[in-house]
Amino acid sequence: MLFSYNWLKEYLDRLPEPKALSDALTMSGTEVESVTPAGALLSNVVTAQVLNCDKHPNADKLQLCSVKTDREEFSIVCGAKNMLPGDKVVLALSGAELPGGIKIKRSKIRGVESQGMMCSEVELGIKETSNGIMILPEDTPLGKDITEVLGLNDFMMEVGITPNRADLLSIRGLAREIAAVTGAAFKEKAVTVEETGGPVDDFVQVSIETGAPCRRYTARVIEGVKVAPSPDAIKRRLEAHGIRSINNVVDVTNLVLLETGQPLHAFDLDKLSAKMIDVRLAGENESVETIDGKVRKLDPTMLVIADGAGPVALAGIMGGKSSEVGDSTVTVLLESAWFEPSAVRRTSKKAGLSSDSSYRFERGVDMEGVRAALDMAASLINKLAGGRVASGVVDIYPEEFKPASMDFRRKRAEELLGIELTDNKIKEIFNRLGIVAEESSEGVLTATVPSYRGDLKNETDLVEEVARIFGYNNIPTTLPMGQLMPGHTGRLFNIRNSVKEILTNHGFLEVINYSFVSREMFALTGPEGKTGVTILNPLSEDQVLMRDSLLPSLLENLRKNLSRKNEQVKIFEFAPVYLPGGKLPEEKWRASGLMYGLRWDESWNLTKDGLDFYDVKGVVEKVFEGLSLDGCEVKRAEGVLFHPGKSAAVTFEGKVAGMFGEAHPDVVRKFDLKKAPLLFELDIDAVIERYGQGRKYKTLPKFPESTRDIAFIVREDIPYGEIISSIEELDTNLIERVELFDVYCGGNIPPGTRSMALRIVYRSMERTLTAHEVEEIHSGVSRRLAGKFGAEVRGESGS
Amino acid sequence: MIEKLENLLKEASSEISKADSKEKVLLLKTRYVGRKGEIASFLKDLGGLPAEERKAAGEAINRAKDAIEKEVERLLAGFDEREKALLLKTDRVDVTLPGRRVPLGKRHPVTQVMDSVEAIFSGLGFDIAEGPEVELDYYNFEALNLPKDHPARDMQDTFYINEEVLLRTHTSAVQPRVMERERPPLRVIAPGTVYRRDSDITHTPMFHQVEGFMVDKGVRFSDLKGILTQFLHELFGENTGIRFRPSFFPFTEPSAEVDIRCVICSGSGCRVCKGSGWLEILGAGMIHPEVFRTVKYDPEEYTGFAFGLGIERIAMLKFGIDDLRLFFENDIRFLRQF
Repeated sequence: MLFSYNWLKEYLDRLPEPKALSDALTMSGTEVESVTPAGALLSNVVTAQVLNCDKHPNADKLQLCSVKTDREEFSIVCGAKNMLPGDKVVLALSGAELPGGIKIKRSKIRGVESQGMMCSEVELGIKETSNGIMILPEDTPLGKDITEVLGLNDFMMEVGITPNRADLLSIRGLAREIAAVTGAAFKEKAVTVEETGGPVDDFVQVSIETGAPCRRYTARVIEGVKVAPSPDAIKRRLEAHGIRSINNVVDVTNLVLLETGQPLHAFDLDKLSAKMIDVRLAGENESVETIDGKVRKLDPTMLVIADGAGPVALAGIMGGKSSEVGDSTVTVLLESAWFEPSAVRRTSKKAGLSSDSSYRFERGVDMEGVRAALDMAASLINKLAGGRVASGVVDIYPEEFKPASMDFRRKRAEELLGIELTDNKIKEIFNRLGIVAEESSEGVLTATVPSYRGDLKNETDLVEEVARIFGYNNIPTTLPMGQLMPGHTGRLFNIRNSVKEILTNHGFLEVINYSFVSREMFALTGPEGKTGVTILNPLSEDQVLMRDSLLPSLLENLRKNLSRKNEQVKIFEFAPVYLPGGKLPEEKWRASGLMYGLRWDESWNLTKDGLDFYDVKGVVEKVFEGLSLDGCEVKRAEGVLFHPGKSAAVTFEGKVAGMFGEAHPDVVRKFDLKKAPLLFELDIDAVIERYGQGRKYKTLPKFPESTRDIAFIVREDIPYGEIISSIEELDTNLIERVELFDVYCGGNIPPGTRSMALRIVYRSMERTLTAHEVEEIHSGVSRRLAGKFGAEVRGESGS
Repeated sequence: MIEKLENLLKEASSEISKADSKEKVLLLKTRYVGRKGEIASFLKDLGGLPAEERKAAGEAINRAKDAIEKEVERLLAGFDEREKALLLKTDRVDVTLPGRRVPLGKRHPVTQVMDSVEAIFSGLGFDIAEGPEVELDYYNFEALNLPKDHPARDMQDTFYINEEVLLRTHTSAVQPRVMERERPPLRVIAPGTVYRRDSDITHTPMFHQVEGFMVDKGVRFSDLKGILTQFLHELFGENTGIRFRPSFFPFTEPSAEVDIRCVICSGSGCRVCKGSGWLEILGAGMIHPEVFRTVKYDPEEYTGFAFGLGIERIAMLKFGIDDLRLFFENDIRFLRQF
């Protein structure tokens, strides 16, 4: 919120300079975000009086004027003719610099010396247009700095007011806070209303419906007003605070809102049906057209101001079009009230409309300040728009405000903050904040908080006030006492760390994508018609569903990178997916990756092979190995995103733990790719329970191994996995491992078959195997291959 | 025979010393001490000597053989040495050609910062806890003293799934979850992903936070200052200036905002710190008694503090990244840099 430094000054003696002020506010919890000079910085521009004006001897269109300040007379050549002798004007003297970059110096104009320049509002940078030079009010003193006279030497402070401090949403409120934190003296403004009109009750009848969320309603009537534009000073002040000037009556309500924090509304009383005001909840099917020209449908949860015919305003939010104050208005009904914060918030949310008024009502205005703001506004309207203020005030206030009061234990504050306090120190702090404290027993004060501090509800609130004024930086820095314990990490934390370690060691870059995707991306992973976790109020159609797979995001990452000529892409993501479930969706952790391009980066000393299925399979195997999860199985499987012939599922202890393979040709086309990327998606939840058990040492063999090779031709459709497990089960003790060292098709190998070469390593943990023993098992292998798979054994060798 | 041997030895030494190549030395070696060489023929003759001379002659033959062999070895070693020196002079690679390099993978910069934050707090004895990202309104707001209709809810624009379910707006939601499940003493951090309905140059709808809290008997505001000062000094360096100033969060009281001296301009004022010389780095405070009551802790018995920090902001400061959106574009040229 914006605050004028000069306006604050009206309430304070000894206001610190802007920089010191903003530091003091920031360090006491009211953050000053910026301080900027308002208007132009003018120097050497002063008030002066025209003594006489003569024609310029050498130019018909110019005048030669003599103008005096409090001390000196100047001779000024001037093109404007709107001033008369005796007028007070703005005089820029030699050395002055004006906003348009004009530098003033003594110079000869058509042969006659001009010692300065009389200025227009445009030249001073305070208006867009003007007719001639600016004429100041008759009572303007001479020789004064114009920035002071016009209030141009101001600073606007942008202040972040926290939601609890509703009392700071006004000049007066912030001034009160400044007094508390800096020691500057706060001074109230005296307001007097001259009631010269008839009794207010003759003009209007006001009622609050029983149970309506309105605890105070005050009103005054001013009759015979003349609605007109506001004086420039008022316009400038409103505009500097971000409010557009409307007319002298409406401007006063806004000015008082800014100054006191109390929202006000002015009705054209002659347009209110039956000259009555009823504060009530809206009925079914009622509506109101607000000042912004929109018709608002109402319901019985919304609080309105109604006249004899129906709603004329959304209470505390915005007035109605029909009773708006305009040029023809002569009788004004001025409203100042206290509406329940929650009622205003509810109505505002429902109507989708918020305003400077509702912002303050929602946070809570001072119930005891309602009447003072009304009087200030009535007196100002009277001053600016004339007319007569009706005698008496409408003040419906069924239940008077009772100030909150609570105990404050010194020891509790000391224990919570880690400082030492004295009763006197506490009392001094409370005193500065307007909190009345009385000692009720040893170390306990009973504190009564002022009506404008609705945020102070309990002891802890008061402890914070003490800490704030004491100064956070004056509180010492200590380390907590207690038992020393190591920090524990969870299983998810650990497995995530391991997976990231393995994949980055394998050259993968980690990506982080938004958890929400478009409908199209969501549908990509199938099956058709599935439901997802949907965001009610998405920011865009691209972010509407919580993803149920990480792969579409990775494909999108690939597309973006390729468009930027990043052609070697190896990325992974570790994140949850969201599956519709009970009250909350299920969040399942996935580790997914994508590989695209060459196996190695292009380089003079590396091969330029493309990636294939076995690269991604290698990665998946490496992840399981790295997690010490032995015994995962790979089986052919199909998934929507995958090439049906080049994809597989990995299962661990009977549970599907992921899928990998080459992307489906449809995916390749959809993402505009030159070739198929390789993908994997692992279901971390399927293995997490078994993770973290680590491995046990196996004794290193003491006896030598014997190896035998075997080459054979076998039907292509027989999976290698079946062949190898069939060999391994022949003798689980003596066959240590089987290595595949060659696979070959084509050439002299008959179509539909392939040649394979295996190296089988035989070893016993108890003795050295004899050649005979090895031969015996090895010929068994040969027989098994021929018998079970119809393999044609082409050769055997051993060492 | 001894005489003949001596002559042979002389001849051999002279011949060998004249040899100018390794091959010639080897030939001479064969000629003199080879199996059918000159020395060998002496041995053959040995049998014809009388027994009493045989021993001395045998010894002389062996001496001569040893001497020749030694000489040969010496010369061969010399040739080897020269050969090696020559080879080492000519056998060289261009060391400036690029190495056979398989690129390193990298963790996302956000993860890297998260890792360091976790490591520091782990060292201070904090446990690591996690909670769901799609969360109940209850844990995200209500249990944190943010009832429905509270204006402070406006501080965080929220994505909703339905009236009761939302995308958590802060990792503070983990706080009541853990407290509901466990009893003090607690020292916990909760890192994670959070969401706010906000997207512009300085906001992304998804980002990362670490929440931390400590609950025990006698935990004080000064302890909060101590722990956070240690943490910030560890993360940004021992000499980093730190200040605490009052602020407002519904779930803490007193509440504080913590600033560090601007890491870019060291406090003289720059674009990053908007001229103030300070950077807002985390929010903190003493856990509000209402929050304790909700999880059935007695606020008279236990006190505690809580804090929360945004990871992206720290990553931007640490790595000098000037555009928040880069974190989620996943351009590999960006990801490779960290």
